[in-house]
Amino acid sequence: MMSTTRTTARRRPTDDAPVIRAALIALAIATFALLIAAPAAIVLVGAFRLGIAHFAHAIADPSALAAARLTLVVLAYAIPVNVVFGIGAAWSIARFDFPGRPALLAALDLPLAVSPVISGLVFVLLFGARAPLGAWLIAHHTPIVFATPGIVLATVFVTFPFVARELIPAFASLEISVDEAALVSGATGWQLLIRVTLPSVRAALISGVALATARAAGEFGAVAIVSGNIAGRTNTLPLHIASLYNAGDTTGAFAVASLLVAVALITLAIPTRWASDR
Amino acid sequence: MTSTPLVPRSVTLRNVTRVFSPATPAVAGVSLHVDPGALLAMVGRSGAGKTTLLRLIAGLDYADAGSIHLGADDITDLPARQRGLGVVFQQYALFQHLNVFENIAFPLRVRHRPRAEIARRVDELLALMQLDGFAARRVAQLSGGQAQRVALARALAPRPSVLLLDEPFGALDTQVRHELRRWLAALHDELHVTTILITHDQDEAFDLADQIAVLRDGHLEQIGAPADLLTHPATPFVEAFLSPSARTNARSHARRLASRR
Repeated sequence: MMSTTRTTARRRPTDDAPVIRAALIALAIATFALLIAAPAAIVLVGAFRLGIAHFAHAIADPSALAAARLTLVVLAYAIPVNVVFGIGAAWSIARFDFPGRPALLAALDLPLAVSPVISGLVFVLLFGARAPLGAWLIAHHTPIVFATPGIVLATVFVTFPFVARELIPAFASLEISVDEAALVSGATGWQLLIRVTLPSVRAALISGVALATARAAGEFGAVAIVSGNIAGRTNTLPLHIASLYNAGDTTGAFAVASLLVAVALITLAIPTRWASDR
Repeated sequence: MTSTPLVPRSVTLRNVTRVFSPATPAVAGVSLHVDPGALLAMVGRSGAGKTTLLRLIAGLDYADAGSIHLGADDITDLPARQRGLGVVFQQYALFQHLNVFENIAFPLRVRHRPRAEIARRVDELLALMQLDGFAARRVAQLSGGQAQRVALARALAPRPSVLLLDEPFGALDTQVRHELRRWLAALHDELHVTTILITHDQDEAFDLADQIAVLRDGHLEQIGAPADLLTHPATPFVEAFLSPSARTNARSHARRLASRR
């Protein structure tokens, strides 16, 4: 503690040579600029290429607004579901040893390992008109596929690992004695969760929710399969961007895409600030 | 300073047994009694069952046989949160995401006490612990001695009838340990809360305790007033364990442990 102010200027024994350090930093910045910053900038440039009026027109288009609304609806369902199940799964895996634990741990990575297109196909096979369950649901006026429930399901499936993955190491690093201190202090299990456990993993939880939100808002593959691409009804923002692009409206596609980029940047930037205020 | 006095209760253990592995029970048939307001020190080598016994009394573990009583109440099967005991852990176990004030207020918040009462009680405890001005401090910014006083204040907040201390000063350096020992003695004189203290430091035990319990391999070798233990040791083990040379060795051992941390 005391000596940090004196030693920060000096080289520590574990430091890399200045040349290596400079090279690594340059490599990181160059990669970031070329592969991440430049495409994001191109989206913005492309969005405003034909002027602000064309941008506003593309954004205010009824099917663009409908797509934005559907994306928000999907987020409103998918994120809370992810939080609840993510906390439950992470807690079970971090704290208990049970027969299915390794399988559950592996299954958590499944949505990341399997192509989203396949994830979407699974839901079509399960809930489509040709499947018994799907046919029954359609007969009872609750279609899943080519409707909002299917899009929500596919999104939850694809984004499930983010919250749980962030929380498992956070839960595992909590000290048992702190839980015990809460219990002998008179806390119920619920009070322990709300007042001690979740606040202690706040940074990990926020980070997981941010990643899940960004991914859920941007998910294309799985959603493309289950939605059926009905403009104004089952198009989310990414699907709408794709149809604009396929129709040759590059500027419109970039305009709507810039919205999505903005959403992603906000979701990722604000929580980082929030989580690291200590 | 403390507006409402604590009501101390006696602690009675009857044939308490806890078995993790059948060959060597962690606690085997321990019976003992602590008078209301008295301070009992539990001594014994590492692995003698001191901490296991304390956890059984706290309700953090359950006895395989025997019963535990608080005053006239049988608390053997009562969950930890309903026992209303104050517990201080060796490594403080403070809530890192809460400041000093909220750490001390925690037992009152989970009991849904009124806001004004909580503020009053926490201020009272901050003064008692000589922690005035520390209310808004982050736990991570505290020294070991300060952290342990916060832990003690948290344990005392709901006015427990019994205080359980598991080597509360074990992680502190010798000088701070001696200060806190004097100060705990004064606190105990003032509050008269029934206290069970685990310690490796026999000086600490002889200095603070009304009664000392010597444990060995899960058994209670002897319990009695400090002077009686020295003049009338019940077993050769107690005599050897409490001999002046052993006490000196234990002291230097404790010092080595502290300097290593």
